[in-house]
Amino acid sequence: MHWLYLHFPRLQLDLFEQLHPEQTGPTVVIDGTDNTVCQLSAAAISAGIKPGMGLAEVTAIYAQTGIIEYSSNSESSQLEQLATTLYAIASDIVCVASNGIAINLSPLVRYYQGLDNFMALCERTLTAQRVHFQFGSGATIEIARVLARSCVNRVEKNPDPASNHLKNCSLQATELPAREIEQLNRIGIRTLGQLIALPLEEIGKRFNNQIITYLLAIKGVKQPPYSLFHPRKLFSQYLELPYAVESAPRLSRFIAIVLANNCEYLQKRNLATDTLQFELQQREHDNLVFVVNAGTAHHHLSEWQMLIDLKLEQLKLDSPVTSLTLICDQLVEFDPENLSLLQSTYSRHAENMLLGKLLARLGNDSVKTVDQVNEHRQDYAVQQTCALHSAPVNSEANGQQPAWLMVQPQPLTEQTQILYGPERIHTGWWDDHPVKRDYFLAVTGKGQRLWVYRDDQQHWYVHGYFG
Amino acid sequence: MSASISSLVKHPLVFRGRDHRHSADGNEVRLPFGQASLDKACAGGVPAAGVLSIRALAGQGELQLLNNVLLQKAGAQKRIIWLPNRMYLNPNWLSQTPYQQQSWVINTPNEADALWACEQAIRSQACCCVVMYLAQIEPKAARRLQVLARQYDCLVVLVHPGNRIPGALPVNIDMELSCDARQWFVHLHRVSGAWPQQHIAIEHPLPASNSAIVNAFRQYSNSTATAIHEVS
Repeated sequence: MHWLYLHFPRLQLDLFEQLHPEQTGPTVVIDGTDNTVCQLSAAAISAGIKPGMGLAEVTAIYAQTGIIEYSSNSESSQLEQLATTLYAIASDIVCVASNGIAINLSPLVRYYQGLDNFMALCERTLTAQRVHFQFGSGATIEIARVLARSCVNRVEKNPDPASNHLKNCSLQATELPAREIEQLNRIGIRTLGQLIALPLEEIGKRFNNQIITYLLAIKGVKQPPYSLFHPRKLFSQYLELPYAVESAPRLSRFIAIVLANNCEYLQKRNLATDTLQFELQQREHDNLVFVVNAGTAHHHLSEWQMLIDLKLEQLKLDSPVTSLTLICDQLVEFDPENLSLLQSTYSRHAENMLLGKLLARLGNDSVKTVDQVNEHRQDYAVQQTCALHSAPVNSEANGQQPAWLMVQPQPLTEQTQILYGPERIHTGWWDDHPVKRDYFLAVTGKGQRLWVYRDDQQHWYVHGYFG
Repeated sequence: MSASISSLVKHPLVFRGRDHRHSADGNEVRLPFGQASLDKACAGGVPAAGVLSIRALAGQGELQLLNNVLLQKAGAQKRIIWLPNRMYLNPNWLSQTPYQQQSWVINTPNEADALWACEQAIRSQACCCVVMYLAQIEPKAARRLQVLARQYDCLVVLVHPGNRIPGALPVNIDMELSCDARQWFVHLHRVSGAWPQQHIAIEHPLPASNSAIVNAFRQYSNSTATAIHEVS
């Protein structure tokens, strides 16, 4: 076996720099468990900040240093996204910890007709993702991992467990626990070459089985089992925001990043969706979930972005948002209609695009088709107006009816002349909403044609207008 | 001198009826109302693309007057958008029209959203007609809709009371419905392709009446038997 290991030393910082390109000052990621620097930007290195420094030391060196708290969720989500991207060019992928990806090179040598071809493609893919990475290769994932962490940045054509590069690696680059490294340092063992030279039986007397298993892997004798990465069948991505966002429209630029990944995911699989769900993690309130619907299933980034922007304009946040998750779980196979110049096809596509915009801005129940309602009581007909795409209801015509109805009938207060009627409606005695009314067509002095009725109490009401 | 006249003539509020007459004689499609006197005053009917402003109160029979125009537009098989804006379109009334299947009713929380929805509908090119009810419309907004509607070949029918607008709106047709006793009139404040005209008498029958019963009783009362009922 021949493994390539890609080590991403500053994944969270890379994401921060993508989201916040205008931030050029020193920025560090602080591990909340011991308040020490675990990732730092180039500007921070120039300012003299080093990994492992405490928070107080960092601020003493440079008071304006940007501080980000380390989030393993954010790194895991990013790593999964990277693995999904790499899955397009490689098959056997293993996600290791929260910042490493191992790729089995053995089947790729033949497929790409040489390692150099694959490595060029791999480097190009990762550069496009704008992440910093180091790499190394070896007979096992552990060997490749040590070489990657030691910044070897080269791939051997024939993996040699006893290579000089590996022997010269410091013990700090290994996965050995700090306590064991200290023990080894005390007896003068500082490099991996010195450790490998020791007989395993002797090491076994002083260290536990985990160390022995690790050393066997380092020697290329036995590869511990790993489960291979498989992309999710549904798209979901978590994004930690660089700062808390207080207004919904300002989320647009951050949503654009996960949305681009989602659209790329769908396009590569020839899938489409008409529903995207967003979950916003609010700092002082429960998560806010909102759904954006499109008129038709598609995977076009610009159109989704426009719909989401419309939705965000209407959205009110309870408190600042610190992170967000995009969930896309209603996937269908993309079936592009033949968008020819034929009028009907083009119109249907345009219709769907219009529908998506209207739903995004005005709400999911804002657009309706109207079907006949099988009800003589128009008060109920108003409430039963059919939602979009519902099945039509067949009923007989309910006599002369006005175009416009009032949601609540209003008392008739102006003088009118009755020109048609009565039409008696006496129904609903079976469902506790009895109606007994005589309807008339009445005309006001200004020529307005009213639909009025007289109830059984002899009170007069206006119920609609004949448009 | 000529420059100052040119800038005056180009002002959007200056109506150039003579220029429009030339375009009306060209290839502009017009949709007749089906009322001879009104169609004649409108140079053949409503231009198929642009804004038709009707100053009327709800219930003055504005949709009845438009029936012929809507039927012709519906032939395009594109969507007809209804923006009732605080009113409620009767589903049973719409379901009895031939264009029910191609109609969408859009409920908007306010008039600004209604104008936005109207603009999106025009731009989408999925709609042949938008019918919008507003409490008031600014000339600038009407002008914007007019330009868009002409560009995207859509008919926008704007129904509003119109009592707050001093002059004519910069649209294809700005008309007002009024009633005098039992006669209905249309006042044309602006028509593209013709000159404004007042008091155009039109036929505007009620959707229903008791005339059949009245006639029956009148005939019955003329006979030798005595009438026992009277109907107004």
